[in-house]
Formats: sequence, structure tokens, C-alpha cells
Amino acid sequence: MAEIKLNHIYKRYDNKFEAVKDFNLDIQDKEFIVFVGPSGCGKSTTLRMIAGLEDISDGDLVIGDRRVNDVAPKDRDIAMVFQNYALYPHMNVYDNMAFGLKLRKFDKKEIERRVMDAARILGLENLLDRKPKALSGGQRQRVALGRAIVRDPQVFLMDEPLSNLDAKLRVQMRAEISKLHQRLQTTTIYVTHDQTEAMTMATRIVIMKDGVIQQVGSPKEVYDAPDNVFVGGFIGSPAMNFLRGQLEDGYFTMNDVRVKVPEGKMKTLRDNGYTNKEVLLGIRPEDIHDEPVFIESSQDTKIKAAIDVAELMGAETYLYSKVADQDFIARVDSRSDIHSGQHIDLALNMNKCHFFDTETEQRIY
Amino acid sequence: MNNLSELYGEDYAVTSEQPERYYWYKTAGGERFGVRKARLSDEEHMLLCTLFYHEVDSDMEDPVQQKWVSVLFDENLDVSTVTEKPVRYIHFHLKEVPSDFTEFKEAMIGLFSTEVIFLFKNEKEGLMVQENTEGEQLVEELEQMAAALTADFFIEMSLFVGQVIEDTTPSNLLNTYQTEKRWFTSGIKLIPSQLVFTQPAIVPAILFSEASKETIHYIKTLIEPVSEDAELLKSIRAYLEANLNITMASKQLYVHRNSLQYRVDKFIERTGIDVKSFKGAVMVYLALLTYELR
Ligand SMILES: Nc1ncnc2c1ncn2[C@@H]1O[C@H](COP(=O)(O)OP(=O)(O)OP(=O)(O)O)[C@@H](O)[C@H]1O
Ligand SMILES: [Mg+2]
Repeated sequence: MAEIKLNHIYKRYDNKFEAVKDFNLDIQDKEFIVFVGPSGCGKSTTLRMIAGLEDISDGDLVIGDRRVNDVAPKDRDIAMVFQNYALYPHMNVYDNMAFGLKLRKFDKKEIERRVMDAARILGLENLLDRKPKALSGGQRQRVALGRAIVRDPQVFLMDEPLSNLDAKLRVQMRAEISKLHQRLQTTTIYVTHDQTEAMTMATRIVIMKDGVIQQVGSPKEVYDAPDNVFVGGFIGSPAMNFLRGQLEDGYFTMNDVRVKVPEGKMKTLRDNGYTNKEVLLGIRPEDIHDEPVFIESSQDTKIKAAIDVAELMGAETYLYSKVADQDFIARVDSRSDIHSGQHIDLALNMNKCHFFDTETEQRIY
Repeated sequence: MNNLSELYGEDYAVTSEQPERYYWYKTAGGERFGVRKARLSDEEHMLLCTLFYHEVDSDMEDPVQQKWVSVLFDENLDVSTVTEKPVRYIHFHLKEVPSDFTEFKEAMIGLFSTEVIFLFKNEKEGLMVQENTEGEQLVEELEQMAAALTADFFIEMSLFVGQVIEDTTPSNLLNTYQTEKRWFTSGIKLIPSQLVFTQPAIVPAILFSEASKETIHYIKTLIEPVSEDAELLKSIRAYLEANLNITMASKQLYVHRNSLQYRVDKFIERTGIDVKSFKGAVMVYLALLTYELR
């Protein structure tokens, strides 16, 4: 059983740069945890500390019931998969997968059993004699996964394993890794900077920025209730819209535009002292509607939007719009009757919106 | 030397009947001495390694290897021909000393045995001398191999791929070794996360390390209009690194050549830079690299 606990973990590099700050996380057995965040936010550093490739400057790392800060990486019972296909170019697929087991002095029968098992799971049975050079990118990464699987470790650590693949293949491999996890149930920590990957694969997502955890939660939790502006803007595509305005008399106002705030939300805002203060309204593109029925029933959240561009995306259209001189995007069912420069009625679903403090950028409601 | 001899007393030796029980070091002046392994803590051994050349046992066995060691590490130019054929050096540097060094070394040698001569300067660094200098996919293969060794041994390493050396006189072999080693050292310092270095990759890193924040920002903004489009940037990078060859780059990326062509056109349209021209390509390449800087 592999639970992993990270308690107050810090990483300071030799040049004094603090890449990870006070990282706290309890990972349950069998979880598929995804670390996500922009480039340089400390995802790989954290993963590498768990692997033991990087020293932990401060804090405790516990795997199972052992503190492993000072345990050699090879004794932590983990297997890693990297962005670079970790393969020996001169060995065929079978030998590549068998190598780590030979190294650990497994007997020949057991090696064969494990390699054949992994090959079957990964659909590599017909490629066992091939050298990596004769494989496609997707196949190569499958072999690298196979090398990790045969070890049957307590934990898989994966650092952007799909980012060398083309978009289409990435989607396909994403599903395959998820299936693999369902089957093997091995605790997995997966690093990516792609929020879609995170949303589709994770049991829980850890969103990081500048070495600091911003939020931890299931994909649905972080989508529906982002803790701060960064998380709201990072998760979801197109991104959440942020509109700046005043809270006045039960209304959110931007210049002469007024939108009614539902009473429940208004009460919380009032209780927290935001009456007549400036706040940020966060609303997702799909919560801005153009259907006449919706607008009809939401007269007090209706706005007049100036359309900059209408981008037809197949079943949907993205309306790049402006209200009170602020940009936002609405995501509506496809319609081809909208043109740049046009002014149309839209209505906000204020039950789905969030309010953020303009200074701290933390969510108020 | 006398101090060391005093310090380690009976555990210090110049020769021994049981050489395998000792760590052997060599001074810059070529003096060889050993200290009994049991006597040394890891830290002491590391310290001695940084002060002296640490001789690894098997370097002493194979005469060809010995010749190389003599020229490159002992800087002894008084040797007859080392090699007739052109060679290429692949330098390596391990981030840590492997706890199972012998096993690690054997694995590494095993991966190449037929093709390269392995020279360990000490337990953390050395080079492979490659006589077959064809290097079509060398960098990519080395990256994969380094990642594989990390996955199996949990030791991280970086590599430097040198130029093909046609002039194989001992003095040029030594000279090239030392020059390349300096490049490699700068590379490791400037781009610690890089797995495989080549000279062309280090040159811009050195320039950037001396450029001001403003300069870098200025270069960065050249491709700002597409800076959020990771897929596009990756494609353009591959296109540049394939010498502006669409067919080759699309193979590398596993995409159809038409879709890559489309991406290149999109890039030109959005940035206004003709990335197909040599000068445009240089500019875009530098701009792309600024996004990898810390
Ligand atoms: N060896 C090192 N010495 C100093 N700083 C480093 C070192 N390695 C990484 N860093 C810095 O630490 C920070 C976090 O790096 P890390 O590789 O963990 O980021 P990341 O989230 O994985 O980003 P990416 O998505 O680009 O892979 C970065 O600013 C990076 O430049
Ligand atoms: Mg990373």
C-alpha cells in the first residue's frame, strides 16, 4: 500500500533559488494525482524530490509508513516515466523492458512472465524484436511505460510523458494511461502543464504557481469552485472571464451596466464587508447565454455586448466580446448570424458566477 | 603527499598486492597513491576525487584504453598513435556517484561495448570515444539512453556530444578533449536541466547569461503573438532543428507534412517573421530559447 505524505516540503537550489515552498499533500493509495501549473512552477522539482533525484531542503516525505528523505532512490520502490522516451537504443523492445529486472536479479522465468504481461497490456506483443528506432513515438512511449510497469512498483512518477507526442496521439495515450491506472491501481503522480490533460486524467489535481500550491481538489471541485483568480483562469478553456466592478445595492455594476447578484451570494459579500467595494466577478464562458428563452427569464442580468469576433468552432461559437470596455468570451451554441461590430443581448447566469477580492485575488463566494 | 601518508598511516600505499582493496589516485604530477577503501568515508573519497584523478580499476587493463587515459587524463603526449580513424567524444557527467558504481559502469559499458571506448576519469565523469562517427540520431538516442539509465539507476547524468575529430595526433586529441570539457562545464552550469549538450546549444546560453533582463525581454517579445501556443512553438522548433526541412521535421513530430506546412504559415502570418529565411530563422531560434531561460 502506498500512501505518500508531503509535509512542509521546501526546495532551495544551490543558487539559493526557492523552487518549492511549504508543499503539503496527503496522497491516498491508488490515487492518480496530477501536478499542473505553468512552466517553472516547480512541478518537476517536487516530483524529483519524491523520486529522490533531488535532495529535500526542508520537510518530511513519507511513503507508506517510512520517512524516506534519506532513503536512496532505488530503495523507494518507485518507477519513473519521462518526457524523453527512456529506452536503450541498441536493445530491442523485449530487452529494454527486461533490463531493469535483470539488474535487480530476477530469475529468467519471472522476467519473461512480467515482460510478456506488460507487452500484452500495452499491445506491444508484435514489436518485441524491434529496436526503438523502428518504432513510432507513441510506441516508444508505450515501451517506456512497459519498463516501468514490469517493475511493479508502489508508485509511478510521470513527468510530462506525453508532451513529445502530437496532439491527436496525446489524446489517445491519455485514455490509455487512464485505463492502465484503472487496471493496475498503482498510486500515480503525473506532471503536466496541460490543464486538459489534468482535468481528464486526475482523481485529484494539485495546481501550482511559483513553487506554491494554489489549490488541491477533484477536477470538478477546482472547476466549480476555484480558490483564487489564478486557478479560475488556469483551469478551463477558454478561460474564465474576469470583470471588474462595484457592488452596489444588490447589483454588480460596471460604469452604467448593472447586473443583479443573487441574494444568497449578496449576503455573503455583505457579511464580509464588500458593500460598495470593488470586486472581480469571475464567470465561465458557458455561463453567459444568448438563448432568447434564457435572456427572457434573466432580465436583471442582461447585458448589451459588443462583438469583436465570432469564432465558429463547429458545434459551438466563441463570442469575443466587450462590455463596459472590458473583454470577455461567451461560449454559445453555433450560430452564423453574428458579425464583428454587432451589439447583441447576452445574459449572465449569476448563480454560477464567483466573486474575488481585487487585492488578494482570493475567492469571496 | 607526506601529509596524506601520515594521515592515513598503514592505510596509505603506493603499490599493493591487493589493489582492489584500495582507491587509487593520481596527482597532477603523475604520482600514484592508494588509500584502503575501508578507511575512507564517502565524503573523504569524494574530496580526494576532486583533488586528484581517481583511477578506476579497469582503466588499467586494456592497453588501448590505457593509451587514451595516458593522453587525455595524464596529458602524456609521448605515446605512439592512439587511433588512426576519426573519432568523436561523448563526455558524460553524473550528478551523483552511483552507490553501485561497478554495476552502473558495467551497464553503461554493456550498452555500447562494441562501439565505444569507455574512459572514467573518476566516479562522476568521463567520456566515451566513438570511432563510428555517424551521428544521425545521436543526440536523440543519447537523450533516451540517459533517461533510461536514470529510470534504472536513479542517477541523473548529462552528456556532451563533441565534434568529429579528424586530426588524431595526441596533442590535438588532448586539446579537443580539454576544450570540449570546458564547453560542457559551462553548459551544465547554465542549463542544469539539459540532458544532452552540443556546442551550438551552449553558445546562445552563454550569450543569454550575459545579456540584461531588458535585452532578453526584447528578444522574447519577437514571438509574443504566438507565445501561448505551445503546439505551434514546438512545431517551429522542430522545423528549425530539422534545418528548415518540412519533411524531416514532420517525421520528427509524427505529423503530416501539410499540417506542419500549415503551422509554419500560421506562424509567419501571426508574427510577421519569415522563419523560412536564414536570418528570420536565427532570430526566431534565439527568441524560442529565451522561453527556456530561468
Ligand atoms: N538545478 C537547478 N538550479 C537552479 N534552479 C533550478 C534548477 N532546476 C530547476 N530550477 C528552477 O526551479 C524552478 C522550477 O523548475 P521545475 O523544473 O520544477 O519547473 P516545472 O514546473 O517542471 O516547469 P516545466 O513545465 O517548464 O517543466 C524553475 O524556475 C527552474 O528554472
Ligand atoms: Mg518540468
